[in-house]
Amino acid sequence: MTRSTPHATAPFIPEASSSKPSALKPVVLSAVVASAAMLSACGGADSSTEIDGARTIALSIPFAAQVDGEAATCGTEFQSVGADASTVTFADLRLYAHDFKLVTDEGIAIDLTLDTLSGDSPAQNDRVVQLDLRDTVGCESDADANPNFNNRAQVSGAVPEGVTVSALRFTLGVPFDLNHASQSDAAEPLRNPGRASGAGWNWQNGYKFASFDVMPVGGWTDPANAGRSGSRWNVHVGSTGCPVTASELENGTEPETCTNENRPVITLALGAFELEDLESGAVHVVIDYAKLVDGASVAQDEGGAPGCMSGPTDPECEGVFANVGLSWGGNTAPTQSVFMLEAASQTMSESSPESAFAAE
Amino acid sequence: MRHRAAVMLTTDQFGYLRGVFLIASLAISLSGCQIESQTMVDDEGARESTFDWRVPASTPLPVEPEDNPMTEAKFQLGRHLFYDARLSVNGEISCASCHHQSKAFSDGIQRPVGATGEVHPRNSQSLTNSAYFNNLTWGNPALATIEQQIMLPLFGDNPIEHGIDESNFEQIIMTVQADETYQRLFLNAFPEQDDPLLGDLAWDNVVKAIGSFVRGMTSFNSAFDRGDLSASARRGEALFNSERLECFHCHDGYNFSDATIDRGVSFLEPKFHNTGLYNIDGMGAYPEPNTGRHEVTGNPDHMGQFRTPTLRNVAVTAPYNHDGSVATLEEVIRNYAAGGRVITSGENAGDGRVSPFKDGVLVPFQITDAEVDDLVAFLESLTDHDFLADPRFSNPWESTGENL
Amino acid sequence: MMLALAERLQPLGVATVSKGVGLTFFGVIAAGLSFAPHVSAHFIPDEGTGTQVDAAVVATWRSASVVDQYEFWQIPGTLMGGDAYPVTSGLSVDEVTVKAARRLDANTFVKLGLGVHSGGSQSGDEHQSVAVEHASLGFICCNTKDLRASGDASQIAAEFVAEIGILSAAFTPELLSHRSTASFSEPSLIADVFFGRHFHDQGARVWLHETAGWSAGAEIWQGKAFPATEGDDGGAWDVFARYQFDRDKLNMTLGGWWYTANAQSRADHRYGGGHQHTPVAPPGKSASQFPDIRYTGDLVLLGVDASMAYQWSAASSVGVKLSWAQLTMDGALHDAGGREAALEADQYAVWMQPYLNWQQHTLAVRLERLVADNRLSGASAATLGESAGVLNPGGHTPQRTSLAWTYQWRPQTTFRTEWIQDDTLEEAQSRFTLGVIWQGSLLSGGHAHGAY
Repeated sequence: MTRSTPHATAPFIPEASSSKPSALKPVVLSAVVASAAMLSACGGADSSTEIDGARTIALSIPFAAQVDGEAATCGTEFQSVGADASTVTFADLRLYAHDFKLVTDEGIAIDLTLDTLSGDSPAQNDRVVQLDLRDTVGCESDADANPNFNNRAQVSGAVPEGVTVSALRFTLGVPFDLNHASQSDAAEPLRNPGRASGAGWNWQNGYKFASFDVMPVGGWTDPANAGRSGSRWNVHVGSTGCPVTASELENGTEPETCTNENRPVITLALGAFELEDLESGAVHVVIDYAKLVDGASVAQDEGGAPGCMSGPTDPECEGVFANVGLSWGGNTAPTQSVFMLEAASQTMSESSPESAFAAE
Repeated sequence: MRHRAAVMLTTDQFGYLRGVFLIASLAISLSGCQIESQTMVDDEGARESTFDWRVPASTPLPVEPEDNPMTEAKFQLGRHLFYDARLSVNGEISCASCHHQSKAFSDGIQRPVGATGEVHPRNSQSLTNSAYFNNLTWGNPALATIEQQIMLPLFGDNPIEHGIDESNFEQIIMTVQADETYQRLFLNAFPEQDDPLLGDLAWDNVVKAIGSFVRGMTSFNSAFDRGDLSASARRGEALFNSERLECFHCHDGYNFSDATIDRGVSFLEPKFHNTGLYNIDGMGAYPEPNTGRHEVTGNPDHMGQFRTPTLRNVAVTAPYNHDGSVATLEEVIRNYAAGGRVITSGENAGDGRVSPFKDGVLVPFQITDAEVDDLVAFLESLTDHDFLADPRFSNPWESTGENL
Repeated sequence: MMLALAERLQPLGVATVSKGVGLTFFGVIAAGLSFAPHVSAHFIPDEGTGTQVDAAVVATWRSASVVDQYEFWQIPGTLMGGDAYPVTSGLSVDEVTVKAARRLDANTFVKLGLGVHSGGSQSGDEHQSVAVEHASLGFICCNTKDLRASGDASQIAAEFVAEIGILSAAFTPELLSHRSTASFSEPSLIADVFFGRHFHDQGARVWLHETAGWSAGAEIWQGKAFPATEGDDGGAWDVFARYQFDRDKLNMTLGGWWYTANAQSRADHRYGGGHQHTPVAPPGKSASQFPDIRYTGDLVLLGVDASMAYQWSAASSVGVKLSWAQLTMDGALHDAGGREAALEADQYAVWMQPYLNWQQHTLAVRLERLVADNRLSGASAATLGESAGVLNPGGHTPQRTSLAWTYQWRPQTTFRTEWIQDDTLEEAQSRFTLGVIWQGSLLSGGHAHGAY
């Protein structure tokens, strides 16, 4: 399957043309010259088309779950995790993301659209992508390869000429209207049961935006309550306080608003990298679990749900939410530290099973 | 002195007067005015449904979700699925495992156990008149429809109830699809779909069908409804409605719950009440995870607030309250009489009577033992024995050779 | 010119009243109670008089209650409220009123009226309180006392009056008549059903007062009085006009009025509104909680009053009074449980009262009829309509026939007996009454007084 097909359906053409109608003619000439140069310069990864001064791009943004630099895989023990240097294995490694954008060095955000993928169980649709970073089914140690494994977000966009892209941005979570819609007939990747099995958060009328669950060796205990312990320490990010109080009960299945939306916007500066690195797959988005639980002990839980499940009064959420850039309690607008852009060659492991949608 | 006196008077002159009067009133009535009183009522289809709800004429009909209108075929399919233990990870748990018809679809124990042995934090609620509630489960303002609630026992992982997850949902639906009974039932229930059983919406249809069955569980035929109360129950009814006890403050209306909605209700704010059952930290806290509405909203003022259950069939749904921690109706009444519950020892010790979150309506009252018996007699009169034994809600797989 | 209110009852002879089925002959019965409310308008104290204080007490014994003690008086097809309490069997003090008025100077006057009325909660638990019926300050413009005193019709000066404060309604005689002054101890259906029996509200009134036979004006109200509600979305106002003329022995009055009001969540305050108490019934009886259905919407009332009296001799007169009122409602019924139903109503009520005065006796008969055409729509239309009393499933048209004989025994004391055939509710009832009315002035101020 060639990459050009998505381009043919590009909805971004009107955008580009509307921004620079008068500069068309001189731009076209320089664009022709520039495209020739770029074609020769490119490593041949992506073809790019010039349309009215904007360059269409297609990105297959790789994500990688890590624990302090080490690739996070199922069935493997990871040491020195959390404030008590615990040893853990993973039980869940999934997240949803939407609203991808490129940010220019002038702060202008360029929208990227998620590609619509074919197949019975696509990992993304045009509204949201599910990143399922578990390499085995259920993240069990001796299970088969996970057919739902997906570590890519495939997006397309148009970058205007002369613009320098300095950051990648996306929002963690499921968009509001989809988050509170029926799950059993939702389009994948939101179908439950389906790709969203275990990612539904029905008690709060929604989905788990991110679920990073670990099994600490020895379990966790409650330092204040000897009778309270468990085997699984969860980080679930989702919208809370979404009561259904619609004034017309015919529409009463959806909340009008949630007290805590909990959809952090993650902006990753390219730094030394450039847009071409994103295009070629030379960089990937790292999700560092060690940073997620930085400051918290995964061997302890002092109250609320085991771990942090976005409870507004759950003590473990104070640190976890700050790490992921979410306001919690009195801490507003913290800076996230869990996501970062790194060169892919360092820890990129394509040990995942064949993904029909992986980049070349 | 009430009797039908002769309206036509015997005298000419009086009759003449009346005639004049009638002519005058006729003359006075402007064009288009009525001569006789009348009231025209247009209920805008409030009693129209594709389903026979079997509720009394004076009882409003429940709201039906637009994406799942009620039909008899869906009801019957849902009934089969409700009693089908194949819808679980171990093939042993069906909805009926924790919802027994003879107990008005509760289960008689304090807290039920799921397919993997995990104990549910809360008591299994009766499904009586589920269609009439503005939200589902003991205390969750985010669950507005039965369909939304059904996703939890089937697919939830906290706690695991049926245990259907990504590793087994495909096999489970295949066992359903292989059953010939379901071929016919699915086609009847979803005639607008090409292949409701084998197609993409199979699970969605399962959820909608079970939802329809539960929605159809209406119960309005108790001794109370027939007016057939013993003297003790009548005294109990007076107590129930009295200013002293004020049970009717929350347990009001035809469904004995203020969280009741039906087609005639255009707006109902969330109704949750803290009844002073716990106060483990001296500041009104309830033991986790059962903090009620607070668990969903995180709002500290919502600590310990739960939805008012219906009192219909309450006599067969022991033990009581959200965690089944109150064993008998008498104890429930005595908790209210005290204005809350005092737990003297153990990890949940505390005086619920002084909880700052306790609903303001809960004022302690005096009640004698005889009055408690009368009140219990009244509550027992709310049991609809037909509902408990009606073959319509029973297990269709057990009727010999008969797949209804 | 103002007719004196003091009743001029001429005895006609005794007309027998019998209870039960059938009646004896009633001829054209006249009540000579000139019913100043009908003819003269509102009382304005004259200059040169001191403070005038009048009082009235009405006590009536009735043979039956219109509804049982723990039932609610809701006439089918109507939304009632205000002070329209049902009459009860036995003795009741229907009314105690004290009224004072004083003319301060040529252009100002003050009035105060206090009243206690029978009724109250259905179980009688609540004690009666004294209500201020009116407490107002009035301004008169362009009045010439001498011209009026001389009765010289060729020189009439227009008398414009503005009053402000707590006022009693002046736009319709229905609301001006009191049980102490009316022939009947039960107010008309127009008064009870459409206005909740009494109308006292905070407001202001400007009007042309009895000039060349005309009285006309406008009033604006806070909305405390039924059928309005007060507040930003409430309030009411009305306009009215009346013309009175005499010729030979004939005296006629014709009046019309138009009233409009807004109601927001209007309760039937007789039984509901605010925190309700379910009364405690004695053993063997049951009391139910009143379904507190509210009305929100607009309403328009308009009406026509007419009267004609013929003074055929010094001691006797005959006449007829007629009153017609129409109510249009456009709004919604709703309750505390989120139920709502749209209500459109076209109702009208009419009564006719011929009467005969002879010496100290007065005989009157009143025929009343109320027709309610209501349209309810909405999913809860039937349940709300039934609870509010508007549903009228039997299609019953309320009617009532009353016969009264009053005898003025002394200048201030009158005896009254009535027979009522009551078809306002679906179950008909006959009842009769015996009562006494005392009306007098505590401070006369040296002038005959008129209606308040």
